[in-house]
Amino acid sequence: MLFNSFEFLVFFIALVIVYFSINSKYRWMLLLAASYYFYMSWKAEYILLILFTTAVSYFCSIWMQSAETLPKRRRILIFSLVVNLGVLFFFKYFNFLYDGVRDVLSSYSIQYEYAGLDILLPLGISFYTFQTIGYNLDVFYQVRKPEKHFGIFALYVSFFPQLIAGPIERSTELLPQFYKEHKYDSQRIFNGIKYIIWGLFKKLVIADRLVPSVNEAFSHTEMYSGSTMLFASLLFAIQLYADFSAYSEIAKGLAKILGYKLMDNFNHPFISKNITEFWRRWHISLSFWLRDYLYTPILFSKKKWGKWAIVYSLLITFTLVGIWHGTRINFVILGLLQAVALIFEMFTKKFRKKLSKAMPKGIYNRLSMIITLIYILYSFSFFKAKTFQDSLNISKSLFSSLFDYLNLKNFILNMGYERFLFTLLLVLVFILSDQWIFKKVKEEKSSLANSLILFPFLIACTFIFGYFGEVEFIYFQF
Amino acid sequence: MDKSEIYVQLLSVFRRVFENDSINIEDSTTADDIENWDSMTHLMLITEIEEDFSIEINGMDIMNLHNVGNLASLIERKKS
Amino acid sequence: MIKSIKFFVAFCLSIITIYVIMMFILSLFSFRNNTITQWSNNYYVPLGGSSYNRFREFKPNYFYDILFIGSSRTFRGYDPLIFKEDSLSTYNLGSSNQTLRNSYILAEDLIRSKNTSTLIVDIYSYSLSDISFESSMDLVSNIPNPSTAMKIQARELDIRTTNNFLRRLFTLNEKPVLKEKDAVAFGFCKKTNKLDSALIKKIAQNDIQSNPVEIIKEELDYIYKISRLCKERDIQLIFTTSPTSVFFTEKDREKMLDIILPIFESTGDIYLDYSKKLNLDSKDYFFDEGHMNYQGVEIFNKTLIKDLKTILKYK
Repeated sequence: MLFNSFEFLVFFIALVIVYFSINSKYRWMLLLAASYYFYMSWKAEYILLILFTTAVSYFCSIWMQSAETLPKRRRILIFSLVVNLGVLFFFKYFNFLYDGVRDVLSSYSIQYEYAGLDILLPLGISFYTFQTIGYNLDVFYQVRKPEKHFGIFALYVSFFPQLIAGPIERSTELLPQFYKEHKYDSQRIFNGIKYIIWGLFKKLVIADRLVPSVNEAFSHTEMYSGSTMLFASLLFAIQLYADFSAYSEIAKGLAKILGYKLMDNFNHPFISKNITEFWRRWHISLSFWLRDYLYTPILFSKKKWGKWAIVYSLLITFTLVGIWHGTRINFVILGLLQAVALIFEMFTKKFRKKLSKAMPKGIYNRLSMIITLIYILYSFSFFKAKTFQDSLNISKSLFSSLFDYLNLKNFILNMGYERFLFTLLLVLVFILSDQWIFKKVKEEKSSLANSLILFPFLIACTFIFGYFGEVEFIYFQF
Repeated sequence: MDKSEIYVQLLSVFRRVFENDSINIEDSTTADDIENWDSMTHLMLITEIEEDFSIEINGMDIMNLHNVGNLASLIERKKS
Repeated sequence: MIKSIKFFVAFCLSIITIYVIMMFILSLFSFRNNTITQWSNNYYVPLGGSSYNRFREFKPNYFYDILFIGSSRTFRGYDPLIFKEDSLSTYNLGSSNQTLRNSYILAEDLIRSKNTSTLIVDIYSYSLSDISFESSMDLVSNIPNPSTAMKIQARELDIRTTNNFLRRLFTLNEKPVLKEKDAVAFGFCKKTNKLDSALIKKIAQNDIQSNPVEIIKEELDYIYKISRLCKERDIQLIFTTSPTSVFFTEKDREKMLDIILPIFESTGDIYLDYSKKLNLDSKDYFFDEGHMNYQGVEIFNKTLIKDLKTILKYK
């Protein structure tokens, strides 16, 4: 069930009514059943996978607790990691070598075909696997004790608002919440609804409207100039941001209505002045997870290398970020671009500080934002490009035809039938008002004017300007 | 070594690593409170503390450090 | 609790008010001959096309011997001029992809015993499936009576149709833009082309796959509803399936009949199945997979008239 579907609306309203009617002792059962039902609505067999991951993690953690020595604990941890990552690896990367090799070879006009198995990737597997691994690591590092209650642990792994596309929650933050009683609170429920309204607006009025133009540009990279591809990358960045942050905010709103607090996943990433800051504002739950569970342990295991430990750790972490996104070489490049930027920023910190003092603050900040944005757009072009050849085309045209405005003009005119200019107008208004509106969304107690005018206005805009063909959320394929 | 002695020595390490003589620390201080605290300075901080206090801080220890209070307690444990 | 309910009601009222006001303003202002609403989305259907004239030339106070209703297979399949040669006055009330639901709503509003004695409803698997959106958008824009248009948009349950309805309501002095080139008279549209070469090739290579369309319960319910409506209004109801091309396979036909024949048995309505009876060669008598050309229409209509005379004689 997609969040923006009628079935989900009915499902959720029914759930809320039952949730607040029954004794809070039994609510975890209701939520677990609802979460499994939600997951099975995509494909019934998925339930076996999530039960398997849940069981392995649950038993390994309890086992770890009773292990007497550190090496034994470590062995149990590695076992749980191998099993859980193995499942993830199997579904995601079975075709990786085949796809990757074939991709690179075809750009040199060598056709390499082999009938590999095409295994369908279960929805959400990257997200709940990471969330579960985080739990196992927390138990290993003795940050928390293992969860004894299997039902509540199963709920932690499968909690439906964040099951399919995050935010990836910490066991120390989310698990305890399932033990607390959450009373019916109309103010809190309205606050949750505000998140959902804003999420649906972003998805239907901004993200989905950009789909035709972005797909058109990235399907014909050989036809479009550098200027057009840069513009298309900008649109893609906005589409991805609107789509993914919408999902995260709807998740947060749904959880809030039920009384649970999920973390913020996005914090206006495009005002970042450098890539380091960008990753503190974009897909926050993933980057913080990586920082705490991957980057930091690797870094400190090589602390004798000093600065080079950081380089080493960044390279590994961000290559894995790339691979987490997908099986194509483009995603690896995406990851490496981040690592390179972060390493560069680390080594030039003092120099950049001196530079910022040498010019007026406003100019330095704006320049930083523009450079960061362009770097991000270039990285994102690897995210969206379908094949390695496409990325090569894009990179080539960015250098050769960056100022070909005629090509860009024709692209815009050709998209006209999709009411593209109006879409751009909506996008512009969105960019200018995003921060202001999100502040009102986060407010604990909105004024009557905002409650009865701004949010109904957003709903009306969604009705009138929304795109209502069926379009799935982008991050579902992860 | 008692807590107050640890804090005196710890403060000089902080001031040295972050190149700022006006820094002050207490139990609740976190990375967000100190300017320039990133993975580089974090790494430096840990290695300097290891040298200064003649202790070893390992991976397990790192994961449980959330504020300066945790750090001070860790040092106290290692020195006893 | 009461405070929450009051707030909830106020919130909903606010949504509706703001929504209607916005649609009003957006439909009020135009830029380059299109209202702002039409600039905002590409699913709006402007005034015009075959439905524009068809529903305006229909005289609801005039008496027609037979009224035809259904999809484009209706307005391209039953020519009132041929029926006129046999002294039968008829009219064609159909729209592109019109499903039975919309046919029912139109019948409810337009057809009475004082303007007809016989209603012929063309039945086809597509007109019983989930494709009503296009027809609803077209009718909402082009049906002269706004309350019929309101009914159609209400039952479509699609915000886009509702948007289109408000746009239609609030746009002043809208002029019809598209002209239906094939329009003849009395709602009929004529095409004389034969099948194109790509489809002829497919037939020659026997490349014809059964294309089962999912017939939905909601549409089947409208068979009962239309049957009841005609009985109440004392109108003779006849269901027909006009001739189909080779692309509507025997398997497709059997699947459809398995579902609808039992329903006709229970309502007792007459069903005339011409889907394969006349053996019309697809290459000569059809201009695409779903529609006869005029040569085919002539043969079909003449046969239908003969058969109707026998049936209606008993009434």
